[in-house]
Amino acid sequence: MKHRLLLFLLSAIQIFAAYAQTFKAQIESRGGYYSLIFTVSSSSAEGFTPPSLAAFEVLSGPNTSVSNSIEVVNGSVSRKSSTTYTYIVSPRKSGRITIGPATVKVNGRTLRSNSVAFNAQASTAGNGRGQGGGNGSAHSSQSHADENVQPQQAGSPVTMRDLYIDVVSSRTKVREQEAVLLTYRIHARTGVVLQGTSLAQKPDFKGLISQEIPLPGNQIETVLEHKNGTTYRTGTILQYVIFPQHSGKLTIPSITFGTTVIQQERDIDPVDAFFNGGGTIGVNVKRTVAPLTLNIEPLPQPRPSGFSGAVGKFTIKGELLNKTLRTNDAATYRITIEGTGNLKLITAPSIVFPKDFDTFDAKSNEQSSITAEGQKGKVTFDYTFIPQNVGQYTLPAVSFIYFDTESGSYKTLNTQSLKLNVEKGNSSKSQSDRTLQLMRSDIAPLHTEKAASLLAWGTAAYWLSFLGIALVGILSLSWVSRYARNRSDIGRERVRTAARRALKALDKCAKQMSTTESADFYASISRTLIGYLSDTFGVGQSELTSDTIASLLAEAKVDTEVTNRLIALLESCRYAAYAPGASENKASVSQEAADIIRILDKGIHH
Amino acid sequence: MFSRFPMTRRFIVFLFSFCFIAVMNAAPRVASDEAQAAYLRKDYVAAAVAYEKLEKAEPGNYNYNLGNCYYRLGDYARAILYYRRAVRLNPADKDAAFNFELTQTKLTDRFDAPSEMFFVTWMRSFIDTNSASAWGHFALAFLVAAFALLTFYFLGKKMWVRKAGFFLSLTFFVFTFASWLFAYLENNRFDGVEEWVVANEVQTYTSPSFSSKKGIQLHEGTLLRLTDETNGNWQEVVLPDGTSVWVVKSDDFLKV
Repeated sequence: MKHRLLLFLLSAIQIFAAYAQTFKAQIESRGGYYSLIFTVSSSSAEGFTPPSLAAFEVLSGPNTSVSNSIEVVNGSVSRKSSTTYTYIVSPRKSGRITIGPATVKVNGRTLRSNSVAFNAQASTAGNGRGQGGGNGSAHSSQSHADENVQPQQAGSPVTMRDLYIDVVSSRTKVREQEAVLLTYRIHARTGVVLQGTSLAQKPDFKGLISQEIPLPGNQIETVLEHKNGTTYRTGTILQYVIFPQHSGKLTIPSITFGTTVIQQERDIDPVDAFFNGGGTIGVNVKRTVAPLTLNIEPLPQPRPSGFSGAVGKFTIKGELLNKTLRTNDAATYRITIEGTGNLKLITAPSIVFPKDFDTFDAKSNEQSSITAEGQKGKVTFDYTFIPQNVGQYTLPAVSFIYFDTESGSYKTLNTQSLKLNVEKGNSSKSQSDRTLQLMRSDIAPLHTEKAASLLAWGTAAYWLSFLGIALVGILSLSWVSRYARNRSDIGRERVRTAARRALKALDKCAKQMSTTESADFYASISRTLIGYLSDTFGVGQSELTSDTIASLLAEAKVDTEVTNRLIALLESCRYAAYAPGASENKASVSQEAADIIRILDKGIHH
Repeated sequence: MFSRFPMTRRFIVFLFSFCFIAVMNAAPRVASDEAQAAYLRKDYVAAAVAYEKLEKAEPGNYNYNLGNCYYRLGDYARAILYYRRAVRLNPADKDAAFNFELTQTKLTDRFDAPSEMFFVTWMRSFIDTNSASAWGHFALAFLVAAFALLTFYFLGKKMWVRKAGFFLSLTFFVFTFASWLFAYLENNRFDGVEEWVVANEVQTYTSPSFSSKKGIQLHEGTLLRLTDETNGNWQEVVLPDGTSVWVVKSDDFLKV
């Protein structure tokens, strides 16, 4: 309900407003062409009838636009509506032109605009081959899909008169190696709306070196141009700088471009138009540029010997990059050629270095940008050399011969000759060899494997494993040392008590001597003696032959007399059991054994 | 169930973390293959962009390859910068050291290194034969050997075995600590050493003032060591030949 009320109110305002309608015409100069604008202060205007525009060429229009705005000023609402009809026109000739009134119907009432009179300035760039637009042509930076242009109707053919592409060479008289600018321009009659232009196929330039000049921005700069009574939008779509490599006839091959022309579909359902983009369709059009033949003049003959091949305008500079020259120290002499021309094709000037210098091939480095006159910038040639001996040398002047396009003659430029003072260097021959080796080598290849970082230094894992190893080591060693100490303690105890135990055993033997068999008695004496020796020297009993006993005792610094007594005793013990009077000797043998043990115990220091 | 088999559980945890690390490494691996492919088809700009991205994701791993990209592009200042970063991270990286040295021959500025004690040079080159990690691994191996040899000292029956065990073990303990020290030195070689690489031509001065006497002009790729001396916007730097000059801080320097 509320909405309906609002709608009613709005339409009431509109009806009221219709009684205060104005319809104005005005003309604005846009520099070379004019905007003719009819404004009616209503959004519901219809049946616009333009005045006669015979004095003009209509470039675009009428373009209708409706605007509605609501303004709130100090609480009061005011509503403004307007409809404008805009023409872009170009006067056919200069002079005073009067534009009659236009009519329009608003809510059934017919309104008439004022008539406009103004001094027209006709566009001067027009007839003939206008090169990039003269005084009167208007520069505009619009895309091809310009809103102000009413597209062609769908189905109408795109003729060569509607759209064509041509190529212009920057000069007609061309010398070998001289830069020529080729400009490919598209010409679209007003009303032909282009969406995009692309090279269908890259040109195959034979017999010349070419370089494309990148165009600024994404959009093509267009210029209005009159030609044969028709107005075209003209724009550069491709530019090449070419350097002809030999004289004679040079044919620039034809190039084909593909473009899309936007056409308006007639009788289209407005709903469909809304959803499908205004009822326009794109038509693909191919345009082929005719081949261009250039007559290339040869450079004047005879060519001077030592001609560098450079064509253009150049300056030369020679400089030593090192402050001081030292023996066995690589130094660099740099020649810089700066200017405009075929920079890329210049061969390195030859330099005669003193004989005892080690020299290397020049390395060139070019920094340039492409311009219509050729490559502009500089090319440097770095000559590396290594002086071998201390002394005064002269680097002769280097001459550079080029063909000057301005004067049309060969010119020779010379660098200053240089006095070279070679000092004794700190570097040794091996160091200079190393430098040479480096200069001749290439860098090592890419690393494809990441460095393994298992237990990397400084990480927690590293310190943990370090501590772990130390801990395990200390623990196991403490165990090992305890084991070793136990083992050695047992051994030492046996040594310490050997004599005492032997004497005790002998004492026991002596006490039981009357009751024991002779054989048993002597065997136990012998066992006691051997056991004593075994304990004392830590040697197994089975190993103790007379010889080992003798050497062991000798090592222990025991008197040979005692040794002999011991060996004799052991011998007698072995046979005593079977000898006559064995039982009578028991006491003396026992005594002798005890004596020897006491002597040995005193003599051997543990 | 797992608590009854702590070893099994630990193993499974280990296995899982291993897989996780493997998956984590898989993504950069693909990206690094792309960067490598770009490098191999000589699209060094694309390769440099790809390696820059990788370096941001895993700092320290792609300096050397970035150096190669910039070398190929002829940007010797950045080549020096990245090779230097690689060398600083691992002075034992022979390829990085070689490429760094090679790139220096391409520079405009040439300096003779200040003369050094023979012993210092020799010692440094000896330590540089192995990375900090490798010295660390040596230290671990020597430590194991030292402990193993000590058992000969404890358990040896013959005196010469025990003596040999003791002295060899002692030697290996010394080796352990030497390796440890080398690892430390190698790892901290560039601690507190701030360096700049000259990216554009720069004028030097003998003292921190524009009115002071001008020093030599520095060109791209020259490596400078910063001193602690600063004065407002001025910074004292040491040239590769050991002389000190003053420069104005600016974007003409790349921080290593």
